[in-house]
Amino acid sequence: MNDTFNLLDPDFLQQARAMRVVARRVAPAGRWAEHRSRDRGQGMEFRDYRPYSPGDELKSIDWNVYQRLGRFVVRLFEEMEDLPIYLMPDLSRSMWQEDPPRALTAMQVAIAFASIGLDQHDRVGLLPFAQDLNTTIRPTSGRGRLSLIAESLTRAAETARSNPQGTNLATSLSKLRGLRLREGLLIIISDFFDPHGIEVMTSELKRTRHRPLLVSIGRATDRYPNLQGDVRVRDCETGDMQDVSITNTVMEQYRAAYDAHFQSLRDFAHNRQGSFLFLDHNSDVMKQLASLFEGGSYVA
Amino acid sequence: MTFTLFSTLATLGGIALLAIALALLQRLRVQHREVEVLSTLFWQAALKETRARVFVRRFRHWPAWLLLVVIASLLWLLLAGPRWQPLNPTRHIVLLDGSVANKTTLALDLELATTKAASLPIMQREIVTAGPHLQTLLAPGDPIELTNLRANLETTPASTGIHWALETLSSRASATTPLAIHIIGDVAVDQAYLESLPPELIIYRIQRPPSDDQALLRALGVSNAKSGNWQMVDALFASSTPQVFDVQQISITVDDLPIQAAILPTDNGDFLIEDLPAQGGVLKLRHGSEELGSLTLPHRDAIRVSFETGVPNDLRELILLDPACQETQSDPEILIGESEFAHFRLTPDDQSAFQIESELPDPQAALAKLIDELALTQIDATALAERSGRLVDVQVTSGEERKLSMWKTLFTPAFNFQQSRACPILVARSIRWLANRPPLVSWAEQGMRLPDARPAFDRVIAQTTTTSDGRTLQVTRLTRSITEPAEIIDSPNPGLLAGIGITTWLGLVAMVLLLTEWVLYQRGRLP
Repeated sequence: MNDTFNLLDPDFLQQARAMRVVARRVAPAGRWAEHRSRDRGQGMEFRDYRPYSPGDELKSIDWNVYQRLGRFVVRLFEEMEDLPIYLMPDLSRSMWQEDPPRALTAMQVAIAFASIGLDQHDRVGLLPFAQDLNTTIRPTSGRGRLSLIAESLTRAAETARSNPQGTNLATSLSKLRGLRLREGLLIIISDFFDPHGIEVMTSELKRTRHRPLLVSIGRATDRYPNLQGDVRVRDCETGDMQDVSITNTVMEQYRAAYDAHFQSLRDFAHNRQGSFLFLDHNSDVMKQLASLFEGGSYVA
Repeated sequence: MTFTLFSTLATLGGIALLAIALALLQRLRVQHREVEVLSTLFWQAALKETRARVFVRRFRHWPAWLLLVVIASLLWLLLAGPRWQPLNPTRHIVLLDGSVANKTTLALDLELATTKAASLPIMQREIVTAGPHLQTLLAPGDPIELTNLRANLETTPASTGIHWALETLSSRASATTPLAIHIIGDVAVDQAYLESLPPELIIYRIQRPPSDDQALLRALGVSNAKSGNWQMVDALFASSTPQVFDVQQISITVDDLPIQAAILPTDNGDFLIEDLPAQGGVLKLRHGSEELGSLTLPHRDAIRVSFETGVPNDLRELILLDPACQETQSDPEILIGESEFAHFRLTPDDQSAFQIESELPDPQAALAKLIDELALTQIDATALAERSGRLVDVQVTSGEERKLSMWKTLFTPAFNFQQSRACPILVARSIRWLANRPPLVSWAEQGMRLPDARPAFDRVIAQTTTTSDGRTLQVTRLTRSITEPAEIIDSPNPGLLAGIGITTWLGLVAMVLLLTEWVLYQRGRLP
């Protein structure tokens, strides 16, 4: 693993920029960058009429209608507003166990999403988490903020690596709620190996107002662990040990539990009008993201 | 329970070692290789269904260990050769009458014997055939199949009946280990003899099933020759089908050589063949082309005796009246006299009345045996003591060869001993004991008991004879009393599982447990 995380590496930024181009190419249909608000009011695009009521600005009255119908109506326009993006990369101990660490992939994914968001004039906040939430950068906008986000994420990662902690997504989400951030897109980038279990995670996610985008960083060996015989598996975060005699039956049940875990996440994201993405840690993550966006796999 | 291969301590120690070894193996089985994983979340879910093989920590698989220990212990016990100490210590001997060879009967008897033995406790059963010698066909602990292998050996017909076999086998009975003898067939046993047996000896009979294949020969036996020739015997046989029996078709061979001997009918409807050579040959009787049966004639060499000077004449003549004795001057078997080399030694009165030197190591046991064998009990010791004014005692010592001494004055007119019935019995039996000649049992019978037996040497009968100097002496001969055959109770039928040995049971239990473990393993109930 590299000693420093050079997220502003020219090659990486070039890749992020290329992905931004990809995003733009997909965006004109209005899927990604321009987000309609539910609020109607002043804006550029006409949406509807409604009767005038005291307090409305006079300039919003449609005088042409008054001349034809003799009634005061007010023109309503759909407001165009930015979509806050809250990036929650997982920097817990499990994300640092391998070489290269999954945390690096998570950081790259976070930077990629930050780059896309900033390019769309969206506000991007960086909230890495492990045992708790770390409000590194509150939501901000502007393309020039990408380097700031990258530096902040690098610092947070170095801190997390030197002092690794376990995963507690529920606590982190609880703290996120306490920040009372504007409703936006919540992108959680994690292995989702929270020892507290899937039910705790999803129940806490339900309490947030944000639309979820769950990005799982995984490997094929997560589902097909290369273990044989009698092993004692030790949880890298909790230290809990479990004696396992590997048999076909045990492996089948393991895979069933694994599949059920991620199916629950997938179902949850779907029910909340969100999405679930799986990124292979062993492959080039930027290519995977580019492929996803280019193919229109993700609609925010 | 005892063990033939290992001691009880070693067997139990082996079981303990097996248990420890299995425990260690169980531990080795769960020497888990520690692997750090990102999460044990899914392993916990998986193992809710299938538990890992955990021996010590969770105490979950003690039953599996115990099952293995029990199975291994059973196999170990099988290896140790367990012998069950039964509640009923009675030993069983299935006795085949081999006195007369008849192939059909012997084959049937053998089948009956193996069937009976198979139903008896394996460690307490024997099959013995009473031929010329007692031959063990099946020893305790032997599988029943060995009987047939050993029975393929050529059987030799014996010249004696079954009484001597019973007498020999009866020595195995004791108060702690009763003996049951199951006699195959309808061979007769004297009622008096049966009553004389110790109470711990039980005689049963296994009846032959009725057969259409009737043998012509009902009984065949030998006795002392009517002619008085010690080296000859008379053979008597009875036919089971006298209506079809034709004496003219009877052919006689001894050692496959034809013998020209007259076959004389008796008053009882039996037939007597006189003066057959008692040289141990095999007598075979054939009726036409059918072999009736065979029998080994006794080997009865004359007892060569020699007298030193000074032997009382009455004693000398008494011995020479015995047809078994033959005086010789060279190489005598029995030397009678007063010297220290004499086997039958005449001693002065200042020594013990009767001194016996036996080859048996235990003088007490020898005394108990010889008092009866030499008929010392028939001596009127009180009368002798009154006449001699001395204590009449019997002294038995152990030595390299048999010797016997008694007061010389017993054979002088000073005592009335030589006129007593006990005198010829004592002398005759003493000479036979010194010459180591087995007594002849009157008849070896097959089938029903022969009613008419020839004189033998077991019972006293009175006779008179005239000596060379003209004196008339009353002498006695010995014969065995022929009494009514005893009613012998039938051998009881054993239980269904009586013949199954403990090794079989242990093997069965081990197999069942192995099957149980396999089923439990297949059902996931065992790791």
